[in-house]
Amino acid sequence: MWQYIIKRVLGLIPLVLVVSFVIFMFIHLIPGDPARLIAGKEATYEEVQQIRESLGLEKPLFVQYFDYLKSLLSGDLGYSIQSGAPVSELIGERIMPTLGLTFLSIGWALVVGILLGIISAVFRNKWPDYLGMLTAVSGISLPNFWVGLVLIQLFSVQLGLLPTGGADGWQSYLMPSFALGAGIMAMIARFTRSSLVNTLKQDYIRTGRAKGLGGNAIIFGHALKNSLIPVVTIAGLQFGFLLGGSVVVETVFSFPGLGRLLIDSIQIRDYPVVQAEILLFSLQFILVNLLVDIIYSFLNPKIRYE
Amino acid sequence: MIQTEAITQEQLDKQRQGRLYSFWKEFRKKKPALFSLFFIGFLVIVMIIGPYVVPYDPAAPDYNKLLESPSLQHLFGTDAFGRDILSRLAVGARISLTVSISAVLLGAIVGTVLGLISGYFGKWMDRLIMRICDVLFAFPDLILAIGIVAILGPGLKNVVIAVSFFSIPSFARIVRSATLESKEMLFVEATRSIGASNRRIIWKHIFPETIPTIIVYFTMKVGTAILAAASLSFLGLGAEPSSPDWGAMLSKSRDYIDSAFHLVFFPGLIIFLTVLAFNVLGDGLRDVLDPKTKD
Amino acid sequence: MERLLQVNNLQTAFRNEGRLQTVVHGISFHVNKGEIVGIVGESGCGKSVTSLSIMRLLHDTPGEIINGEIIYKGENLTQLPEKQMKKYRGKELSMIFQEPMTSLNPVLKIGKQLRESIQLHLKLSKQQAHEHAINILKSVGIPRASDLMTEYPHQLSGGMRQRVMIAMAISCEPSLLIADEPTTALDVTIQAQILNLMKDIQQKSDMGILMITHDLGVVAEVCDRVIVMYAGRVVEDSTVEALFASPKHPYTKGLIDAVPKIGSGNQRLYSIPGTVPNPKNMPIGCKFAARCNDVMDICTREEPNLLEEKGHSCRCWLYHDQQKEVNI
Repeated sequence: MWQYIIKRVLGLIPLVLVVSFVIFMFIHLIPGDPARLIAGKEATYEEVQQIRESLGLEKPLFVQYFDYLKSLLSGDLGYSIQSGAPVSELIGERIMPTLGLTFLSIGWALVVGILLGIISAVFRNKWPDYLGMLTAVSGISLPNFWVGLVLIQLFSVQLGLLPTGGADGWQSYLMPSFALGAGIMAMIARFTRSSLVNTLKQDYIRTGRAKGLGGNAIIFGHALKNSLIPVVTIAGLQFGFLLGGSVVVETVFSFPGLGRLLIDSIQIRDYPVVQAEILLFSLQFILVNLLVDIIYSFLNPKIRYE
Repeated sequence: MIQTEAITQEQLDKQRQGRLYSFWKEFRKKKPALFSLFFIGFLVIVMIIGPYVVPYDPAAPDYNKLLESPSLQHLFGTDAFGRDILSRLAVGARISLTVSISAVLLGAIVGTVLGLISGYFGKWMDRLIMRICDVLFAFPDLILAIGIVAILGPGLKNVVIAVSFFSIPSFARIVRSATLESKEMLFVEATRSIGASNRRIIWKHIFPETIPTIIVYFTMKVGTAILAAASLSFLGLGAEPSSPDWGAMLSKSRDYIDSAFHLVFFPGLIIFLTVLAFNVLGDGLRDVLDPKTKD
Repeated sequence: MERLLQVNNLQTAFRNEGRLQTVVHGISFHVNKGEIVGIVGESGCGKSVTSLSIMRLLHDTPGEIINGEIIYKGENLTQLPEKQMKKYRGKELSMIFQEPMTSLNPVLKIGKQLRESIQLHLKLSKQQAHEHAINILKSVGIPRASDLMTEYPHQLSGGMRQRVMIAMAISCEPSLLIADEPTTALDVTIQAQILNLMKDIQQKSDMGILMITHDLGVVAEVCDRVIVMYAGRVVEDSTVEALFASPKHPYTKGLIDAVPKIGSGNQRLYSIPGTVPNPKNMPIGCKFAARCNDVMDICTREEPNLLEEKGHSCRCWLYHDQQKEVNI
């Protein structure tokens, strides 16, 4: 087990290096002189030169990347062009609301999605199944920004129950997490259904019935664990969808999180912030998938014992 | 020897024709998918003739009719410039669908070629391509697209590139596994022994076998692409804010959410229905074309 | 002899795109207490469906019993409410399946899977059930029984898994054990061990066993009586001795000829020409006519009845004038 985890972690190092290199190249890929981009249009030649030197842009690319990695490891993510504040500080202010929103969303999506999937599988090809899968396919097709706007209209404008935005108190998390989680809930529901339906066809389910087990003992005792193992993997992949979605949903709700910081920074061309954020989102995604792999191996005795 | 191949080819064509017929016979039974196909067909017609038949000029402002609620004259109401929303949506279909379909097409072509090469040649080529895909997969879809637009600048052309980028690795993987499967099939072994070139084997024998998978996946990805492109436009990174692109229309409408909700409602509804149609059609196609992936 | 199971005119059908397709066509047979009865036939002859019908486990297939009676200890199982039937499964009648690899749940420990039915049917506590399970494992010849309880199926060999399956099936001392091809997926040496084990258990406990197999070798090894099925019908029913000594039905003769014999030299093994008819397209007369060496005119026109002579029944026109009709 530990061996497996260590192997997986070591296996990720090349991927993380390549991903960080791609993100490092970000500033260099933007058309134009990076130093001038960062200094701004009004900057004098001397100012641009100074930035070039302070960023080490005259050094060979490889050395620059090495420096970049070194500063990353020491927690230095560069400085914002806009405010001059360290990027790590800007991100530090925004990370908690976004994490809260993300976990709340994936949490309810998992619970509701799995339940919906189980109901659909148990009542396969009967009306609860059709209803559940109609909900699911609709959930996948809904634009989350639209869901957000409709929710604002309904609960803030019409009913006056919830705040339209911000991150003050738990009430301001409700609508964003609903909008953000809906699509993932739908995908988890679909996947749970098909996985459970598939599991219920397996020979060992027949063995269970032959023992005299009832429907609930079969589903909860025998089928669910088997069918949830692949669902874990899907939930991990959907996490990327969640990270992307958070950018949009945070914009809809003026939610003070990382997603909005990203869009704001792109609009004012605050490239160091953009770069750091993309790195952060990608690392988070890689990390979650590592975690999912570990959970997967823990749930699956075939891997756990080898 | 040549004759052997001729027979194989003929049999293959016949087999494929028969498949097309049995496909239709099966597909006809999937009512939701069939209905979605009609809906998409309707959208395509709107896309083509929309600009010529809409009741109002989608770009012409009418300052006597600002932010009007839906009425018989303006079924979906008017926007902040008094422009007819229905007309704008109809004309916008061309932008939204062209952007998303061409993005997926681009991604599908690149991904398919990579997948075919990877699956057919295997070895280091396979490893290289799959590692590249891993790197692309390491970026969450929309974040990758946002990053690309941040580099290239906003605009529809760049949205197409950004959205196509995240379709590449998934197409490559799915075509690769379909290739591996059909590579093992007997007739490929047979043609290889006759001495056909690799390119011919891939093009004539392996690629046709992967088409059903590609069609299914393509349909589903168009839905995702519409959502992604609309999201980018909504964030102000895609279409010009003044253009009748569906996402851009929604982006502007946010300011009027408490006074003119129809501005928010109808563009979103159209996006939702279109994506839904592609997803339902994709599901139906998968059930018929790729039944092994069905529950 | 006490009659354990009496199947009368059982008809089972599958629902295929809304249409019912009959797979088992009115078969009748019985199993007495302490007797091993074989059902033999090629795949697709309806023998597995028959066993699933007795257990009433057709839901997943999805099939249903459309006619006939299954009388177990005087009770008609086809009329039993599902709730009652659940109490019978695993307690009164239990079943072993063909694939020991896939018939055990891969994510549950052996112990849990064994305890389950013991706790359910014998109403024992977890601890008692655990001890009972270990004893059962020992009785099926598993030496390190208590270690095995905490292991997962993938850690065991095929033969070991089948022993676990047997242990599971006999853990509540059922009166009837249905074994559906219990040795087919196993190596030849393991096959013999498992068959001997089943015979031992049967002799100790005096239960009845219904052995479903395609292998006449298995029948010869363990069975007392045998029923030969073809295309969903019983074509021959006799004691094992009589069947091998004087097989009647041409199909049975073919099956016997197809069994490799020691000392038969390098002769090519006989195989019955042709294949089992498709259920969608059943011939009118005798279902075996197309593959039969002794086919006559009448065979393709009309189906023969099952006729009995001295406890040996056969469904073939060849014997029709000499015998009286069977009434079971």
